[in-house]
Order: sequence, then C-alpha cells, then structure tokens
Amino acid sequence: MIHPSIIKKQRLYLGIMIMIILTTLLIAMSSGQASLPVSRLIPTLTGAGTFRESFILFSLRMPRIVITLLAGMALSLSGAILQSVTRNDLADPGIIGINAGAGVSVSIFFIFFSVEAGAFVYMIPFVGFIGALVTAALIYLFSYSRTEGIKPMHLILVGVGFSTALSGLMVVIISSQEAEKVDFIARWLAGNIWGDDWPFVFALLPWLIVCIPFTLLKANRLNLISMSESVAIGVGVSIQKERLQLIVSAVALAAVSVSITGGIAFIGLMAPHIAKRLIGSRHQLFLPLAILIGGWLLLVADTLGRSLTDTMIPAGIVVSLIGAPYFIYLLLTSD
Amino acid sequence: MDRLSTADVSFGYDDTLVIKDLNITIPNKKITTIIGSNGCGKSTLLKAMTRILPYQTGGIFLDGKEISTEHTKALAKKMAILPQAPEGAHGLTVGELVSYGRFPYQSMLGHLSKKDHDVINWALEVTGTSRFKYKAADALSGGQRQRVWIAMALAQETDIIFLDEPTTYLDMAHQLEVLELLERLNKEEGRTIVMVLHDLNHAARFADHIIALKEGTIVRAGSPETIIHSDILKEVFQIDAVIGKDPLSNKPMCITYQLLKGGTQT
Repeated sequence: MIHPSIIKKQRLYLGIMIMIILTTLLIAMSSGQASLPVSRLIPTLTGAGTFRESFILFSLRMPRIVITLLAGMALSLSGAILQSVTRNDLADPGIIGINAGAGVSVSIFFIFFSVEAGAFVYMIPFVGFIGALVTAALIYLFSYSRTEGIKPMHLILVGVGFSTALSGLMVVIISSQEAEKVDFIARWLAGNIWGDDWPFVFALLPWLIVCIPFTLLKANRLNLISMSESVAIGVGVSIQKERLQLIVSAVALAAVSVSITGGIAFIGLMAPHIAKRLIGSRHQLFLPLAILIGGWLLLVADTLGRSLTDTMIPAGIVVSLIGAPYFIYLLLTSD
Repeated sequence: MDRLSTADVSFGYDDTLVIKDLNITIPNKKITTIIGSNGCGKSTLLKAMTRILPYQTGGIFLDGKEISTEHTKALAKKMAILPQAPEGAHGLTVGELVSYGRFPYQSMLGHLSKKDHDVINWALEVTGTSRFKYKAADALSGGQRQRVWIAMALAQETDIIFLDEPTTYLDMAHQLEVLELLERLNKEEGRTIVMVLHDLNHAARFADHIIALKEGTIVRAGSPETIIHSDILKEVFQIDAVIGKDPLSNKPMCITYQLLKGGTQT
C-alpha cells in the first residue's frame, strides 16, 4: 500500500548511506596519530603491508572502527524505539538515564575488578545491561500509573531526573577511588571509546545480532504503537507486553554499547530524526536508514576526535558538540 | 442473545472512579447510542468496553467471557473501535492506514494476503474512499479522513463497532453521510454499532437503543421514544426541551430547548 516510489527512494538512500560509510571508513582507517596513508590501505588490507602497517590497521584502527560503527547503530536503534514507544521525539537513551544506569554499574564493576582482566570483557555488556535494566525498571515504576499504565511524558521527565542523579552518583563513586580508576570513570563519562580491541567487538556483536532483527520484526507493531494507544489496542496489539519487550530491547542496545564506548548521548536522538526527515516515519523504512546513519555519525565523531588535535577528544564530546544544538533545535521546532 | 454486557463494573482514572457499579446490555445487531452531558463518563464507558481502559471491579462480558482475560488479538476480531478524533496517520497513505485494520489477522511479518487486500478494497469501497487509496491520509478533509478511519475499523471485519463521537468536526452533510454509512452497515450486514453522540436528534434518528448517562450512572436506557422525552432530558442535561416529531424519520426530536432556571423548576 506504500507508494512504490517511496520504497525506491528508501533503497536509494540506503545505497547512498552505504557509500558514505565506506568512504568514511577509508578516511577513518588512515587518520589518527600513527600514520597510515590512504595509498597504503589497499596493500595493507590485502596483506601486503609492513608489520607496522598491519598492526596499526588490524589491531588498532579496525577494532575501534567496528566498535564505533556497531555502537552508533545500536544507540540509534535504541533511540528510535524509545521515541516510538513514548511517542516523544526527544527520547534518547542518554537523555532519559539508561546510559547513566549502565555507567554506574560498569563503574562499580571496575572498582571491584581490574580494568584489564581479559575474561571480564564479556561480562561488561552484561553488567551494563543489568544496571541499565534496573534503572529503566525504576524509571518505569516511577512513571507508572495503576489505571493508565505508562504516561510517555512522565517517562521522559523521570528519566531526565534519573540521568542527572546517576551521573552525580558516578562522581560520588569515583571521589573515593584511586587515581587510575578515577581517570577511567572520568573518561567513561566523557564518552571516550575505551574498549577498542577485538574482544570488545565480540562482546558487543551477539547482542546486536539478537536485538536488531528482533526490533525490525516489530516494525509493524511500532507503527501502531507510535500512532496512538487506542488505535493500537483496538486492532489487537498487546500494548503493555509489546512495550515492555521493546523497551528491554532498547535498554539492551544502549547499555551494551555505552558500557564499551562510554556515555554517548544524542546519537539516538539525531540519527532516527534525520532518517524520518528523509523517508517518513514508517518503521520498516526508516529504521534501517536510522541504523546506518547512527553508525556513520559515531564513526565521524570518533574520527574527528582522533584526528583534529594531538590530544584525543572523546567521541562523546564531539557527538555532544553537534547533538546539543540539534536537541535545542528539536525542542524549538517540536510542537 | 445479547453478546455484550457489563456486570457491576467500576472504572476510572487513577483513584477517581468515573463509573461505579454499572450494569448495561448492548442489544445485538442494533445501533446503540450513548448520550449524556460533558464529563458524564460516555467516552470512558466506551474505552472500558473496548479494553482500552482497564476496569477495577465487576466485569465486562463478551460472548460470556470476561474481556479482561481474553487475548487482545482475539478481541480485535470481534470488536473494532474508532477513537475520538484519532490521529497519528502522519505520512501514511489511506490504503496503508486501512491495512492496519488487518493487524489481528496477520502473522509476525505483517504480509498482506489476497484476502487482506480484498477486505481492504471492500472497506474503501463501502466508505467511498477508494479513490484516495494512494493519497496521504493527512491531505484529506475532515469528513473524508473520518470515513477512512471507519474503513480501517471495517477492515477488522468485526461484528461489533464502537465509535466515539464519529461526527465531531464534520459539517452537516458529512455528519449525515457517516451516520447513514453506519446505518447501512447495521441494516445490511447486521453489525452491532455502539457510539457516543452529542447530537440528540441524530441519536433519536439513528439509534434503536439509547443509554442516557449522568455522572457515571444510567438515568434510563431504552428506545428513542422513551429516552427523547422532556422529563429525561431535564434530568440528563438540565434542559427544558420541547419534543416533537421528525417529519422525515417519524422519530422524536428535540425542536428547541432552554436552560432550566435555577431551582424554580422541579
């Protein structure tokens, strides 16, 4: 029933986005403190590079780039889910406190365990997820009304409160810690992608392999839920159950990402919004586009942060530099 | 046998009960209209009967089963609802919007079958909206859009259709168009229609059964002839109504009315 021209348009945008990402990948692989010129990329990729070149590309750049792409995708999808479920374009896992929840539990985890411990890499997304889930449950509980269920606007307001409180809690937690851990948590809060090694990729990937298709399969329900509660219930959507599943999926996507990349907000706000602007708000069409845009945005932010100055600017800061004005723009233009 | 009834049901928002211990029966294959003043609980009642608002005590029964325990998708094949001033069709085409009515019949992936397409086309046909199929629902006029929403409810293929003020924001001709469409669906296809209406004369003209509500309780339920009566309207709306006969439909009609003068009348 969708006009075929719109589907064609979506395919076109997806294609363009993939091209842009590939181009950005080339730039990202060749930029950074250690030099690896673009002309040496192809030889290095095909195995003809020197030991140093291969090391820079495969052990330093690639894992970080893959992590950045995946995390950006997950954060974007998470934001898109939250916006539809709460019917509020300003919902973002960073803004409503889910990231901070993951951050607190990851911080506590690091106080008791070493930062380097190898096997614990796979634990980190779990720890982040648990923390974020507890936070989300608390936000849910505080914005729940017995007769009316969850009020979308309450959810946002309570979430903003939690976000601030939990960030404060992290500062309290680090204030009693030794310098090395303080440094880690401070960098986490700034959104410095610290988990930049292959194990982190493998710790993150399974979560996305489950959550992304799960959400895409719910596109139809999301269309109805984002429309209006009465309409959704009327045609037989089990709204409380679906909402719960979708929120858990959004929490998982955001929490596992930020537990590895640090607190990055606004990707979940910007990417879905841009995608909707381009192709409209049908979930089956805009979600795939939003996922690509989210991955690209974070990749650009991290690449800029790595190459603009000699001291690395955390990706989270770069994203916020773009995202905060965008957030204000959204606030001013939304009705 | 009547399929839908309530038994001592109470519900409301947060801690305030809007309706307390209500007992009503919706006559099968008839048009039922709920009337009452603003804030009397009409819309709330409609929401409770369609499981949009959960009830607190008592029960609402459809085919002998309590609706709160039945699977919501199964219910969506039995009853459809057109909410008051529905919105959210941003950027959707009319055909898409109507196709959402097929949700209860769809699998996880949401592919439309041949049957789904047939029903959608039929729903567009009866509501006279076929020519808008590929148009943006946003771009339609109020009357056209309302018919599209009705088409979506029809696509659910339910025996019972609830409508919350389906004629609001429509001009006189469009109001009648919508009501006549509902009447046709009732007469020709035997669908049970339950709606909230503000216009008493529309209620009298199109309803077989009227439920008059006041402050969450039933003042009286019955045929238009018994309800559109000055005594009852006095109690329900605090008005002094002059009742005559509609020369077209031979149903009672409120010709004119004035407000009750405070305390002087009984």
